Amino acid sequence: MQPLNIAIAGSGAIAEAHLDAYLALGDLARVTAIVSSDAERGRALAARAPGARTVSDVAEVIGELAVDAIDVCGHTLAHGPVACAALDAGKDVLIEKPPAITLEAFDRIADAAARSGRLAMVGQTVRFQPVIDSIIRAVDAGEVGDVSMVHVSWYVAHVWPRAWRGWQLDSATSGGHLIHNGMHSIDLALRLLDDEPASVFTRGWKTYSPDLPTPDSFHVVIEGRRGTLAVLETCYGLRPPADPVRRIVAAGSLGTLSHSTTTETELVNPVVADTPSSTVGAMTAEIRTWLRAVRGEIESPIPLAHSRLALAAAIAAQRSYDTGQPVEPETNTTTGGVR
Amino acid sequence: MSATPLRAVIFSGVRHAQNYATVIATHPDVELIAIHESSDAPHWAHADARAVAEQTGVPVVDSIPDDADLVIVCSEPTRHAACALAAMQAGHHVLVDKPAATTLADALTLRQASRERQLVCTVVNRTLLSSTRRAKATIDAGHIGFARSVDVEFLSDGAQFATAVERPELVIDASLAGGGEIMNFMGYCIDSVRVLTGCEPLEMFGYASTAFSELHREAGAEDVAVVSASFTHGVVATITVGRIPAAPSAGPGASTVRIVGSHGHLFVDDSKPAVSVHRANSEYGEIHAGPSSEFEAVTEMLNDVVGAIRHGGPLRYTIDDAAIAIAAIEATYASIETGRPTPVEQLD
Repeated sequence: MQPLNIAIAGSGAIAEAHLDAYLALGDLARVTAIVSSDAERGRALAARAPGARTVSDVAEVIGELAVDAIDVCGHTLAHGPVACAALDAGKDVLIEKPPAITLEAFDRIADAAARSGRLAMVGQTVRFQPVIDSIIRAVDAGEVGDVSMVHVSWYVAHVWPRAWRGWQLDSATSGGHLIHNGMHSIDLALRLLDDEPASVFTRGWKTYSPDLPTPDSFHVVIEGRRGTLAVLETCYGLRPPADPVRRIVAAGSLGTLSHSTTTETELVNPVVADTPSSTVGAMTAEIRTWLRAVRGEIESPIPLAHSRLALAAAIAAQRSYDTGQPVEPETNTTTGGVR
Repeated sequence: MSATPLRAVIFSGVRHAQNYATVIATHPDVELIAIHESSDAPHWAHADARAVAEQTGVPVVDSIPDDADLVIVCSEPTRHAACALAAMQAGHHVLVDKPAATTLADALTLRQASRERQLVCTVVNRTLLSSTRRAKATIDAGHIGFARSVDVEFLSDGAQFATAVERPELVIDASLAGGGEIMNFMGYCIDSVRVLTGCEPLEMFGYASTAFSELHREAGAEDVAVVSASFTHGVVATITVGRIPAAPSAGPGASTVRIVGSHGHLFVDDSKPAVSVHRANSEYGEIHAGPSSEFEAVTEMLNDVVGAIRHGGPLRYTIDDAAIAIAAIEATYASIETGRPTPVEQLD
């Protein structure tokens, strides 16, 4: 089996995490190019992938026959144009979440995927965390019946390398914090509830810095069309630099699934950061899954139709934060492009 | 020589009366002397009173004895306020089952009666649990800095709903319960945020559903709700409340709080400590350690009431607190009705 040739569009922290995953997967894929506007950083990443080169213009790799697929990182505003151009050139794409900051931009990606017949998958890495994968499998197996309520409490350190002075703060490029990080728990909740969001309400707050242009923390409550409910709290406000805490409750008609990181031994140490057992290896699992889907071995577990629902809810959550009122997500159009 | 126990009368045996009688039986300073029911109460309420009297070995009385020190109101929720008011008008201190009233207006009437007559009027609550008291002490000592957000969850286990609650209609029939599970349980959540942060509720927004229980659905009563709330000083809270088929806890319900402050965070789980059980058939379970939270809460309340009646000691929870919780509950129901965030009426 020949390795797939991958070009990574971007050279930031997430692009580096993607590169790590490809390297961990050995012969499944070969990173042949890093697209970066920062030549020094591009070279630093490329140096880690044998045979990879650095380019500054993504069009160069999109037009390259030897490149099989494009891994779209970079800031969110840039995802759409890169993904559409790649799809139209016949490349499969993995798009780092969030896929876009508007539904119009997302729909252009979906249309391009439908036109080209290529695979576009949004990289919801959280889905591939061991504990989340187990929860999803248990729900799909009917362990707790139909899930009608999800409660996620998710707290991480305020220390967020690079982001607090990066593009993530700029809603013009990130869409806002509710879109940038809200997508994680919103996608998870909708996946577990198997429902469309009907109404979303948000509050956000700034734990330490009143002049921060975006809330570091927020909560979102969601009402689904079938009467399902979700309450999702995301807080980048923990003071210890290494102490992620997450609690998940999924209540079903036959029982309840619950998980808490507070039972993991890593949390005994309040200083040294390391990945908890419940989340370790997620990016590698995501990349492996995407590569298998590109090869046609499996269906993408994250259809674009679902990603659109999650993005619509996240956009509604951001709008609710901005207006102080509940917002109905725009979920009334059909999304094509699911391979 | 110990003081003579307070003479307590249970007013109506409809809901939780047997539970409270069990706690009283173990309390050295309170003695149950009788069960009373209003003459105009429905026949089933009188039957309930007789049943509690038979179980506890005390008589049913047509009127509350003048020398009763304390009246414990255990009627259906929509009659709580009327029973408590009647007892106070007769000059008795009262302890009312939750919710103290099913309307803010009724709660304020009780508050006024308590103030005017200088009588104890307190309400069943969970703020006196050791878990909450310890958390409050930690926060008061400054260990988490300034509280910014609170995530409260109170989920009752619905597996035995039809048999564990004296009558399901006491929770789902609005004419008896005054609402659904929001009315039943959300006061606990408001109390938690208030006692842990010292902040008052300002605005509520909620979604409610009958997601799990056919009985609730038939009665049109919510079985679960998710609520976003703002409190004074910029504190925000989520409230997850209701009755689900299986609560994620070692006890009959899950009562947990997560609070994040400017300099630390703290989590509270009322079902802990617990003992894990690993059975040979691979089943896993947990056994709550120590007295049940309900037993502990009522015992602590009785301690407060004894101190207040005998020595004029302070009450850690009064009808003033309960009225604020009911104001927040009313605002939540209003937000669900209108689909808009709703301000909480601010009480003096």
